[in-house]
Amino acid sequence: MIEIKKYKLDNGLRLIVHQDKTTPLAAVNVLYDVGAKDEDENKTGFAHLFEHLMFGGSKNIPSYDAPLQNVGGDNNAWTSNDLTNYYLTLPASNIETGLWLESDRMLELNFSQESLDIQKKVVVEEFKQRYLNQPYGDVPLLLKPLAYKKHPYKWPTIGADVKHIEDATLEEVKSFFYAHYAPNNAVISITGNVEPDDVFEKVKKWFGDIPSRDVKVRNLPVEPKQTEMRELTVERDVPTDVLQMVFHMCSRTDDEYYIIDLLSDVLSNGTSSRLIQRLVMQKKLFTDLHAYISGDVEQGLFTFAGHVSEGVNIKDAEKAIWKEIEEIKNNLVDAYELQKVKNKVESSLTFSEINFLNKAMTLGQFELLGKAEDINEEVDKYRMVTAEQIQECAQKILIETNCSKLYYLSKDKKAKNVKTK
Amino acid sequence: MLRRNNVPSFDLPSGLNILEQKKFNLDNGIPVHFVDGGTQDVAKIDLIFPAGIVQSSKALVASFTNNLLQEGTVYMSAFEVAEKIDFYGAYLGQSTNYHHGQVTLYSLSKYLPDVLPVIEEIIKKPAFAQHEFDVYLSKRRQDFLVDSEKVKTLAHRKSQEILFGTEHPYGRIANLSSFDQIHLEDVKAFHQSQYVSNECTIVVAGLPGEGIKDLLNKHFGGHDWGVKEYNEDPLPNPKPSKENEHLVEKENAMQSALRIVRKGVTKSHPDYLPLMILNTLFGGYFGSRLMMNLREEKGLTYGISSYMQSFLKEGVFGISTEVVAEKRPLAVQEIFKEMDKLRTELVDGEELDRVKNFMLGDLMRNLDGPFALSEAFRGLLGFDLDFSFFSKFEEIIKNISPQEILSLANKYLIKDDFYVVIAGK
Repeated sequence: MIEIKKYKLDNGLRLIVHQDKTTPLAAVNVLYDVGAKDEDENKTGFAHLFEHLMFGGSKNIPSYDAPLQNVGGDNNAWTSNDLTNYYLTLPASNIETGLWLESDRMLELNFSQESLDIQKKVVVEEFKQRYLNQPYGDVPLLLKPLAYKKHPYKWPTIGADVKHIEDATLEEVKSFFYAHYAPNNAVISITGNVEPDDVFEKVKKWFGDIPSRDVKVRNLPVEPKQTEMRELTVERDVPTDVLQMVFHMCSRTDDEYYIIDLLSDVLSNGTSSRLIQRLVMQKKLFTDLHAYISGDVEQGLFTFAGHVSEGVNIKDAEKAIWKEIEEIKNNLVDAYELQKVKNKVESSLTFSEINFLNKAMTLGQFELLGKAEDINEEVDKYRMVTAEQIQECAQKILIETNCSKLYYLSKDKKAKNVKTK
Repeated sequence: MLRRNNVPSFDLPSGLNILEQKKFNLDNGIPVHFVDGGTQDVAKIDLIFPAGIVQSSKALVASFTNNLLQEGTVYMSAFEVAEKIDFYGAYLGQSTNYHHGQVTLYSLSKYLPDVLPVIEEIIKKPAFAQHEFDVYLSKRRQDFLVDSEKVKTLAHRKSQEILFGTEHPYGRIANLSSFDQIHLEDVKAFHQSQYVSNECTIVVAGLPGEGIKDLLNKHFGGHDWGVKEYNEDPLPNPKPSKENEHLVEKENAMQSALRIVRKGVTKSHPDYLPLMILNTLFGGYFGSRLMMNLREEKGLTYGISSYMQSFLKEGVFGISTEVVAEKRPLAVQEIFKEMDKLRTELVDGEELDRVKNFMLGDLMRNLDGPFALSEAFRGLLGFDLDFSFFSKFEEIIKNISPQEILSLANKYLIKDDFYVVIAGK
């Protein structure tokens, strides 16, 4: 149970505070309701590039990092298709420094061409390092546009193309800021060794005079219902074949989310799960195989991803997955197996509540999706799921006409095998 | 009126919040280090053995043995072991490094009496069956092939090899043929000789509940498992490479991984802690000289860092980054230029203060909570050091002067002492 206090400023900024006296530290998490899905199709990767620019100095403070490091703080940020999240930790007595820094960059960034030019280069190198120069690194670049035809989830957070990043202009940067970065489009969550009412006063002091802004109204294209199986085959210079299959599913806020999460757990959470035991350990079709869900705010994806064993035909490996799908559609999960995945969820939620920074991030997301208090209802929502519901969900989602699959083949699998002898 | 261009007043980070530590021995003498505290009723239990790379005579044997422990016991199949652990929502973490092999259990405290019997069995009576060995071997072999496509991994492997030589356990890197040379018998023998009660250390962290000592005694405190006369051979002398530049070619690489490395110092060395400060200033945090120059000014890379590694007997000081091939010479030149600057110019007080304050905060973060503390303790194991290491560190951070940084730089940042390793083009 995470106890929280909630506040709201006149400019629309929401604040969540959770006190944890066991740490001498505090975390400040600022979550903005903007992500890659809010980008223009021809200018993808922008939300993430913008995250980099948020460290280039703000209206009254030339450097973000240095003053924070001066008080013993550390920070980072991440961008997803849905959200942009900034977080910092510092000794709790210095929390005001964190609020000062975060409020100034919410007020106004110091937009400079120089900073933009450098960060464009850095992000291009990130693109190469993480997506183009890693084995299988381009899988999301291939799979997302296969699964989504209209919806902006069709491009990954890093962007669809390096060129989009290279072409970004300072004008676009400015208008992006004013369209999305605003107190009325953000949630602050603060955890650690703090007094909630005192935190509220300090947040009011630093954020209270930031004007609320006309946030761009979100109007995302609707993804048309998929009606037939989609398939893509690529050959790459990788040692082994990889199979990925994705199916459309509900959004994070849907009640069905909990059912589908447990469905994926029965299939592949833990060594004793069905896919690991049957297809990896017994049949040796894959050396590694996972089923997982995306947790996206909009309608997301249920993914199967596996490394096919040497000497196994990828089509045979795929058939075995479909057989497991049929099994779970035709037969109810038994009580012991269901209890097992529920226990596992309860345990992982408990472990996730150990770290104060983790709590701050999670609280921010719950508030943005609905209300922060919901964090304490999670275990119960999972507990209520029945075997019948899991079966129904499998029957509804895991069907061929809802599937997009990627055969990611090793160009010289055979050649490599010979060489090693 | 709010004065946004003035820095708000702040306190210097100080006072480490180190939770209470308890020490006791099990009935058979196994030392237990217990970090008591936290907010949730969960526990982390590490069982640590002298079962690392150093103690094994072949590549892969140590990590195979460690990972295969959970693949079934004399009494339970691999599936039954996995299902029990999953049913109670527990997690098993397994790791091997140069000197230790470790099994880590994360569990809700209420289920410890249900889960610990399983842990007891996998440690004392693992099955080591051929089928599980074969499955694991093919998985590891595939993982190895995939890793071998990563320039960063290639550069790391090469740098260990040239610093220590292939005859030294620190420089003995697995290759594809290692997978043909490892057999189930190696694993069984290694388990028998290394996973023994008289060389085991246990670290407990969290809120495991009142009965933890009794529970541990019940499962691990008996005289029923593997006592043996234990002698470890001394390590051979490293045989570092005579060439200063090494290229691991990878045709289609879009970026090259760059490692610039030299022999460093271990945690037992008096320079270790002061050098940590120079390392942070140079390349150890986001505001470091290397990050500012190569990323924030020149946009050459997504990230660059310098690092220190301390194995029990030797240390490494290194710089690691990934850059496009055309920019590689420039990156190398700038890295050495930053070393020159540190050797010739005194760091100014403002920058050094920033590094110090950042590090003091970081020390608080690294020692915050029972799990972090148990990790910190784990890092000291084998060095004959205790938690005073960290209070000493705090003092050194607070007191180090620009002159000391300069003289450390003149001792450790000498171009000719470094090897340049490139993987890619």
